[in-house]
Amino acid sequence: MTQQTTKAKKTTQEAPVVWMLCVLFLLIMGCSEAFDPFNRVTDLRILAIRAEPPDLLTNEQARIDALVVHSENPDVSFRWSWCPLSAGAARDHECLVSQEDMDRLLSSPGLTNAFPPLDLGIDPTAIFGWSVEPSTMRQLCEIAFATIIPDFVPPVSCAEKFPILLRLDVSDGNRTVSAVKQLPLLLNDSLERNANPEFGPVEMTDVDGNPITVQDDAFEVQRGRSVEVTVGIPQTAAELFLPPATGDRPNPSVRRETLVMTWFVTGGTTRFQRTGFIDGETPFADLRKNRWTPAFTGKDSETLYVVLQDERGGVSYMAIQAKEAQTP
Amino acid sequence: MIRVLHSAVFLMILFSVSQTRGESEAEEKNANLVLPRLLQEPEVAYPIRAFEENISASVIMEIDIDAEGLVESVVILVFAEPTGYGFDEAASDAAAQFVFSPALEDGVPIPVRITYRYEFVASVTDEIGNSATDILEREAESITASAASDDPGGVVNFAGILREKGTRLPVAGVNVTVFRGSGSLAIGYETTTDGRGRFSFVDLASGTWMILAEAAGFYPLRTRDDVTQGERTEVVYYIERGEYSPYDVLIEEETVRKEVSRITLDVAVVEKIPGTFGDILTVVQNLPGVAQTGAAAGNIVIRGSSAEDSLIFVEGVNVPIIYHFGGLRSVIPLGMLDSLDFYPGNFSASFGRATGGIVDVRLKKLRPQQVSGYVDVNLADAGAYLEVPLGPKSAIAAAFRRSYIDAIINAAVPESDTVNLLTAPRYYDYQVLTAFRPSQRHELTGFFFGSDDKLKVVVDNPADVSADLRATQGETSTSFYRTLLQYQYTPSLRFSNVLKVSAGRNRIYAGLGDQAYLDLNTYVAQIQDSATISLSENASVTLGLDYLMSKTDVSIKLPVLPKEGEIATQPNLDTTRFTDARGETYHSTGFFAEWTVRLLDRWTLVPGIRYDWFSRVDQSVLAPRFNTRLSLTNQWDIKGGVGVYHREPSFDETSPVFGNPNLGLEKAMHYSAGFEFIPLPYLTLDVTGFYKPMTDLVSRTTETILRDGALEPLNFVNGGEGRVYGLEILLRHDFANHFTGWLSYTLSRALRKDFEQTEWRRFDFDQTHILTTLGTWQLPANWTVGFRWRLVSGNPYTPRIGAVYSVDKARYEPVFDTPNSARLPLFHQLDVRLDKRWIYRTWMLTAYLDVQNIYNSPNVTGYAYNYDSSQKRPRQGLPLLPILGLKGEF
Repeated sequence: MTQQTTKAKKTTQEAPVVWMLCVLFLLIMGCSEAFDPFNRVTDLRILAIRAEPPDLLTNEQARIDALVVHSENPDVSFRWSWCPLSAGAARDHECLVSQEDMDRLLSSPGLTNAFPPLDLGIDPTAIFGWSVEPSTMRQLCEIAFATIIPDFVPPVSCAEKFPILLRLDVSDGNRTVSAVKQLPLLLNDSLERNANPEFGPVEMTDVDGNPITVQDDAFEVQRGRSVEVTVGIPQTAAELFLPPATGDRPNPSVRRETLVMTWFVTGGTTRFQRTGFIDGETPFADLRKNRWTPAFTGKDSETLYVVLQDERGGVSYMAIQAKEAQTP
Repeated sequence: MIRVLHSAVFLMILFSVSQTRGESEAEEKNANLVLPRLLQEPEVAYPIRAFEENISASVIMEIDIDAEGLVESVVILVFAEPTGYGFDEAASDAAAQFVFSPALEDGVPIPVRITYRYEFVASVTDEIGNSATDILEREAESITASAASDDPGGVVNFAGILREKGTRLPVAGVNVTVFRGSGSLAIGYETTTDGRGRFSFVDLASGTWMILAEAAGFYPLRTRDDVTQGERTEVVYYIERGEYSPYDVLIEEETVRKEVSRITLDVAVVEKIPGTFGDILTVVQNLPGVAQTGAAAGNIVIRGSSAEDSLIFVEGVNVPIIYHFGGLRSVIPLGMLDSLDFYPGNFSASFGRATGGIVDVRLKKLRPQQVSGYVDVNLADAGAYLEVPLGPKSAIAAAFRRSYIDAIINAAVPESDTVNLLTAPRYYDYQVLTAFRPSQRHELTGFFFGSDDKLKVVVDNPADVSADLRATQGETSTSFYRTLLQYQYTPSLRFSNVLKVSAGRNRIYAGLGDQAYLDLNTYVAQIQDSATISLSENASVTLGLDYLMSKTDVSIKLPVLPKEGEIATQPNLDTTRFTDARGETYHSTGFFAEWTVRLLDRWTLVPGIRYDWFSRVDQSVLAPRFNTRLSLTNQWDIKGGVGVYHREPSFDETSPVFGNPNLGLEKAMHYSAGFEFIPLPYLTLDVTGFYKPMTDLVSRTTETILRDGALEPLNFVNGGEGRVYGLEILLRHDFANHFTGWLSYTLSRALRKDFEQTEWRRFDFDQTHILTTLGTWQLPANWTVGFRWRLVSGNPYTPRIGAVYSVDKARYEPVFDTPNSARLPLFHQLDVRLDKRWIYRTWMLTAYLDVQNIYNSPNVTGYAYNYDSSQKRPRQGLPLLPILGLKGEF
């Protein structure tokens, strides 16, 4: 999915608490003008990568797509790749395994064509599938991690899952942006499967609670007015699952997934950049609500992109367009 | 046979002259200045009861000497301990009769004020000296003579005490005149205050009398009082000093200087240094060899060693936390302290478990003559200090300090959509110091101190803070307490022993709910004993034991956190490691021996050796050390040292989960050489070159190891190396001509080579040039003005060269260049401080204005990046920051 936006003028609005702290500690900390907020999209950005399904058993395939937002130039190019063992974020997720390494590793009978090439192509969507016996995969996993544990990459348990890294590089001719996402390969078919969360209908009201009509994922609002956005998300989007045992919780109990929603906008400001649901900590309703004040700076429409993700790698996204309503 | 000695030592000369190196230098001449020399000293009457009970004492006096070398006035600064034996009276009576050669400035006689210690030393040895009979006879004569002179032959009907205004200290040796009438009817009488500031007149006629008390250095006191014959009138007069110098303190140099690199800071010097808020540990950062680590770094980086390589002691007790909230204020207020010894390297064998430097804070010698204290109120906190004498042999002092940053923030900051402060940053600390000195031979000191910091926040919307944050509360709590008991036994000049026993607890908790936390609870006990034996007039040996035990309960659930030289990425809260250990007990036992040998009265050799055993790494080591100093002339010393130093890896580095339990000790060699030059009595130039190679440094590895059948990361190995070299220059101006200050410059290079790396890299705080100059002027009318200017090379940093968006974490993860491959811009800053003291009858009020960064230098402490690291802007340090404070002393 690709979307187009235009550049918006930068503003200096910050969260109220930051301003208050700036006032209080101005002399101490030297607060000054901040950057554009993370969720304001003014240039080429990759906002999400989604795999369907979000985890893979052997002999399964996932369809991978991305939410890419670009500026005026629609000629963006894609480059998909995957890596079984990367060097971590600080080193640009450099893949520690080359295609030659893979070819050598998979030259044994039965492993040929067990994985696709590390280069997954240049289409807007990519396909990844694997076909290795879980026991063999566990051995490969142990060999890999016995060789090297990159900086700050935690040791992986080879008993249940083997996470690979998906990478997308997008270029519009002027600049290239990159995004990564893990895709768990399940080594045990008895494991609970994950599903990408789903959206329901979106509700809009003005700040006084009066409903705003949403039609074809678009609505009208006057410049400078805020809207309360409530994204319809069923409670089942936070799936029940049994977290893996950890040192401090050797006998975990079933709980709901943590959900995080990121609210990207092409203009204006939002009350929160992200909202979330944490089972037992924050209410589900807090996940769904946010306030958006479109700016309509140099344009008559702006877009809100919401990206919903669960803690096991499930991702969904959607877009709503705000059009400037004429002042009555 | 009984031998009685007395000795007198100049300590510090105020006003126009100053000297700090003992009596020999007091005679030293230079182009501008000739110090006064004691020409005539009367026989001193050793107080008879003290003599009989074999009690020694010392009295410290301030003596004003006129341009002819005659004593104008005597003020006792530190009374003799124990009291009640007449030491003070004897000393002040004697001092009043001293005759000096005049002090000369450019050949012209000038009046000066000196501080003078008078020591009464009783010894049971029978080697030399006067016979007991001689002395007793002399004492008896003296007492008889004194009694005779004290007998006025009438009835005292007007008596009083003359005290110094503000401090309430008695003023001795001051002429007090009573008079009335005029012309031929004028009548007057004169007397002199004794060691306790007392004066009296007999048989004054009834009526109103004018009283005049005049003493050099004081404003004349003129008043009147009514006297009635047959009735005794008791008065207390307060006489105001011409100026109340904050430097009326003793700076005593050891008779024999042993260390190659040791700098002693006195609290009175520290208090007025701009930008430090009178914080003695912060002042250390202005000394050579110490890197500038920023306002809240919370550590002291000495000669290119990591902060954890150096140790901070309070009277030899290791303090786990030296600053509140990582640098806001140090945990011990100035009132409890006497001085600070700073060893940037080549420290004595009595110090172990460190490969960097040593900071040893000395407690005040508690000998109050009266109830006194202070209240200090400033921007960050308010504190109070009180000391109380408990009879002639003991005393107690207590202090408490609490911040009110929390109250300010809670009042000023409204609730936020995302984060609320449940407990805003608050800290407090407390101290109780006791001293008991039953005799000169025995001295007991007890010190109980502690600190508590807390911060708690509630996060209503954790996702808005970070997508991987699962907790709605964040909390940090740090506290510790220590009890120190110290017993000093000095049966003779040939032997002394100091036993220190301390125990306490460190409690650290930092957590984000159940998601990530550090919960550390450690009980610590330490026993130190050192005995110094004088082998001959020029040789002594110190033997010591240094035992440390810790018992720890620890529960840690944290992601891997970066170490020195590693890239500081945002921790990944989804990939924590966990360990829980209860009752882990470790021991560290050290023995040391150090000899001090003085040859030809000029050359001092200090060989030493230290043995340490560390149970956590199960390793024992021998560490030989050697320092030497040669006095070429009275002005020139050359010095050098070499030594071996070891340090145990930190707790997390030997953890089976976070580190490697098979790690060994880190090692450093210290080499240094230099000279000291004293061109003027108050000016010292100290130049030291040093080289410090480090081996077996704990360094991260990507290797794995099979433990209990499971493949685990090895985490760390003793595979790192370090190399630090440089030159330190300190030009120090002791208090003279109303000025004190210093200029410090360090030229250094600190490098590290990590495990399996072939290239050396810069240490995190590798600062090529560190220049600090500071000074304080004592101005008339009790004004003080000070400045501090710093010019420092920027710290190395690791630039970001891009970012990749992590969909799983809903944030950009930066991509970094080679670690520490760039350097921040030059740092420079000027701080200024102005103090004004008002003197009231029984107390003093000081107001101070401390202005940091007065020309608003935009110093860059790092860079802030936007969300995808495509833009950056400098993160600036302190802007112009004026801070006002008040301190009341009584």
